[in-house]
Amino acid sequence: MSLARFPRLQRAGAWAAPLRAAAAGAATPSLKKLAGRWLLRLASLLVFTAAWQYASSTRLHLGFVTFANVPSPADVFSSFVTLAGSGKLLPHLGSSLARVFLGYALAAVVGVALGLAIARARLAEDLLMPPLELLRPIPAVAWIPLAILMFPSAEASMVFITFIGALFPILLNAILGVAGIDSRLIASARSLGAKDRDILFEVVIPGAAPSILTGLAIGMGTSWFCLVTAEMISGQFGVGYYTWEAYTLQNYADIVVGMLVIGVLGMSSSAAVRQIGRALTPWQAPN
Amino acid sequence: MDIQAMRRARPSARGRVEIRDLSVSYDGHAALERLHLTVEPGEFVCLLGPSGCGKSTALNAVAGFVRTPEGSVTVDGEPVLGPGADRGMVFQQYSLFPWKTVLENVAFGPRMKGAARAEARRAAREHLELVGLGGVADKYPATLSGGMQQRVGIARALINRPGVLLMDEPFGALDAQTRGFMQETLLRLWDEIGGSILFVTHDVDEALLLADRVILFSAAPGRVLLDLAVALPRPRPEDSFADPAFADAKKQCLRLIRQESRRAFERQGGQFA
Ligand SMILES: Nc1ncnc2c1ncn2[C@@H]1O[C@H](COP(=O)(O)OP(=O)(O)O)[C@@H](O)[C@H]1O
Ligand SMILES: [Mg+2]
Repeated sequence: MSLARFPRLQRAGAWAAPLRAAAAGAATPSLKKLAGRWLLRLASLLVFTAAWQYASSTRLHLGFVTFANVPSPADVFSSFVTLAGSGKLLPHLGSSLARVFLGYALAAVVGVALGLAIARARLAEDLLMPPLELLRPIPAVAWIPLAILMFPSAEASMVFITFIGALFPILLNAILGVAGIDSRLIASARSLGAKDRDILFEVVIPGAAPSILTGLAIGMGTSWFCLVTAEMISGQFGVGYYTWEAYTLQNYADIVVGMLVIGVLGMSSSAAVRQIGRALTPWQAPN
Repeated sequence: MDIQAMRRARPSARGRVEIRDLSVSYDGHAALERLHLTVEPGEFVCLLGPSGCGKSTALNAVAGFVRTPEGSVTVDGEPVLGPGADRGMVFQQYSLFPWKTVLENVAFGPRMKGAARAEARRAAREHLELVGLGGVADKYPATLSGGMQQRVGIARALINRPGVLLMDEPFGALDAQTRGFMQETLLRLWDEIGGSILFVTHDVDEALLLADRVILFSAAPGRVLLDLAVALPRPRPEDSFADPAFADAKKQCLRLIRQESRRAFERQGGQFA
């Protein structure tokens, strides 16, 4: 049950460590070092933005790639302010968030439940695994045409794509998590009087939790990815649709606004999942 | 009347284990063949034998982890049909629930029996005191040393007052100093709580220091090769090792183990130069 099995979580933990230490108000000599590291990170962002500003304002041409049509950070910022002031931002954000959370929540429930069943019951494994193995290698994006045919509304088909995108990482990590539980823990629980139900709630679910949470974090990323693609194809609202519309209308600054909004949304949802995961698995605290 | 006789005479004495004619095989490969073994109530029995001879299999049969269609295993007259709280199990690998605090680990048994949360926690706290770990109740197991984790494991098993405590090389992963301390602790708990103990080890000194009886298994498939009553008086201090009776018993065990290990080795196609 070591963190080494979950390099993603481990790395995320390491990255957030200075934040946590600072939040705890650790008045230690390392505070100065921490401030230094944050300054460095801020400087990195500033340099990146300045380079972008330079490349776009001088219409930098590097042979095979050109910045001639790339809006500058300043243009992007003013477009963002316009969008925010227009009252259109919230509907776009709202539709995207609603789709992702509906599809993702369904995938979390279905993925974890199926994963537990498949890993614990041979009958469930034999009945469910063959079709799932067949569907698994199909990228969620390849489902878009069929989804449009299958569902009555574009809305439902986009939620479905988001669901498919998140389902497999969640399902597979749940199966792996259960399979990775030391059989001696289950044996010990039985020797202490645990019945099947207790084994499920007291051993299997907490034992698989770290792996399930890894799956949920990965699934959050894939469901955003799938949603944005689906919105570009069939949406009428949403940040993916907004980005694609900006391209078709040749509002180049708005393209980048859409991209950055997608980035921030994806990043914050993943961070939220990790944060919830950390709160749910306190025994994994790196102390 | 010696302590053992007194222990056996206790009216409430529990923990009689009877293994009769037990054969277990894995994929057609025999691990145990017609094993007969009896543990009297309150008795401390150590199983010794070359590695792979079926000691763990015998223990797991009593615990109810392996099916035993051939032969019978009973504990206090009840046939073993599966794992249960009347038989406690302690593995070498500690096997504490990593997601539960030390206190919650120990409280697990009472909670499974339906005890109220507060009551289970109170009993758990008491048992942690018993193994000298009252101070780490709220820590997670991963933050404890191996010896401390194993003491938690023992407390967790004993809180159910099992008739028999099954221990599979419980101190095998600990350093020598910790092991000595753990042996003392175990003997003290056994004295206070009672019940019988079936203890697997590959350390002859450990077996002779702990056991009322040492049972030596043959090379696989395991049969009883030697059933040796350890006549040394208790408590057995460090200098028991100097006792001629101890030395004789040790010599006898080591000779047989060496002979069996050699047989096992040769049977696997190995040859001594
Ligand atoms: N679950 C199992 N599946 C297949 N073979 C097993 C299993 N458990 C034990 N064995 C085999 O049975 C024999 C006895 O094993 P075991 O009881 O663990 O011996 P010991 O504890 O004395 O070292 C060994 O040959 C071992 O490989
Ligand atoms: Mg063994």
